[in-house]
Amino acid sequence: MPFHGRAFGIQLEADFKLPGVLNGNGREPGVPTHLKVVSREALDRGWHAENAARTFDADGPDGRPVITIDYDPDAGYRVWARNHGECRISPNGSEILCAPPHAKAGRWRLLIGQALPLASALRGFEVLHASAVAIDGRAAGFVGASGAGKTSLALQLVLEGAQLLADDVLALEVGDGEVLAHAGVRTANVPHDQAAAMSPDELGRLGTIVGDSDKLHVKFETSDRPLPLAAIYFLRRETGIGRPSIERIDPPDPALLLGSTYVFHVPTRERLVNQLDVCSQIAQTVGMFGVRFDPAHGVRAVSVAVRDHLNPS
Amino acid sequence: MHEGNGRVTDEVAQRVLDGRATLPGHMVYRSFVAETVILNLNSGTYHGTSAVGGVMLERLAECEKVRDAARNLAEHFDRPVDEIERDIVDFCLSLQERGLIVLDSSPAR
Repeated sequence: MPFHGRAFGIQLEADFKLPGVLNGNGREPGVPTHLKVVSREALDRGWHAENAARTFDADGPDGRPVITIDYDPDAGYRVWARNHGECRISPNGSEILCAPPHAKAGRWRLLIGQALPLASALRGFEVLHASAVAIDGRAAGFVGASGAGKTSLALQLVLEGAQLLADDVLALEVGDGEVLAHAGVRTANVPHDQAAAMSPDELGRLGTIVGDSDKLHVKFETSDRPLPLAAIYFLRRETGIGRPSIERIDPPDPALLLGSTYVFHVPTRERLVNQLDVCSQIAQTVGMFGVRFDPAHGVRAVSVAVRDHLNPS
Repeated sequence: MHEGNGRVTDEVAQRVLDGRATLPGHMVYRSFVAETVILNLNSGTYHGTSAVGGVMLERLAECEKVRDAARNLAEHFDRPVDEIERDIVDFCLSLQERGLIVLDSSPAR
């Protein structure tokens, strides 16, 4: 019996369970992206390495590759990550074949962290490297370099009453002259130090713990429908600054927006034009703000500043 | 094309004004309020121009001749036509130099 769900704006249908992702009723509108678990040999079928170009790779501290992404216009994308298996995504994002690792911990991280966002981009969404929350029916996104505090800030806002929309990847589209934000997968990766600082009650309010690896994996409830993007905050750590400072980025900076993409390794014309459309719409209709804060003062100071900024009394 | 002091010669300016400027099919542009971003879909590279440049691109796409676009822009910005003509010629030549625009300076038929 197929499992259904929705993440990053796309309908999903799979022949396997995926906690925090596949729990829909199958009656959601839209053509689904099909997910299948296959063997490595099955991934090789129809893939001709000589036709593919490497669009991204990164090495670990030991100098060995940790992730590679290859692209063949006819066969699609092939994503490999050390210890996390491999996925193939069809050229139009309608199918994802996964060959996950045998280990249970982090088994689906490559699928959730790379393949689904890539499929979302191929299906017409622009995908930002951002966390996001919903407050009073509107979405607020948080962009920053890895370690800038995107997840920590979003989680703190959830503890203060917001609803988590996205942990690390935010899918956007333009609709009716607005930019609409779609929820990601319904699991967040909570840094252990942040989880340790929470009371059991607070941790419970975040959601249900469904796994523990290098981070705590927490399943949470989120919005089933896209929400208008009200503001996008660009986070920057600055030692020595007193209270967090929030300033409007005026005029909007195209480089900041275009550089916030999560899928820079998807160079298709359709995706590049879509990215330009979404970022142009953000520049014209969504508030862009720079947030400078000293991490030594804790994330709560930033969350208070953001909440007050979003809903000035 | 340019005089020794960098100014465009009258002959070149007239040729540009009497011709047509088109953005190749692999170029797209969008407004970012104070800037216009032009994307080369073939190379994946981005180029920036001002918001005024974005308006110029729109008029150039709508008008048969660069001269017509200049007249239209002069009305839009409430500026003298000859001033706008100088600006649009410089703009077109700059974009042409960067491979972002095609200038068809064939004599009018």
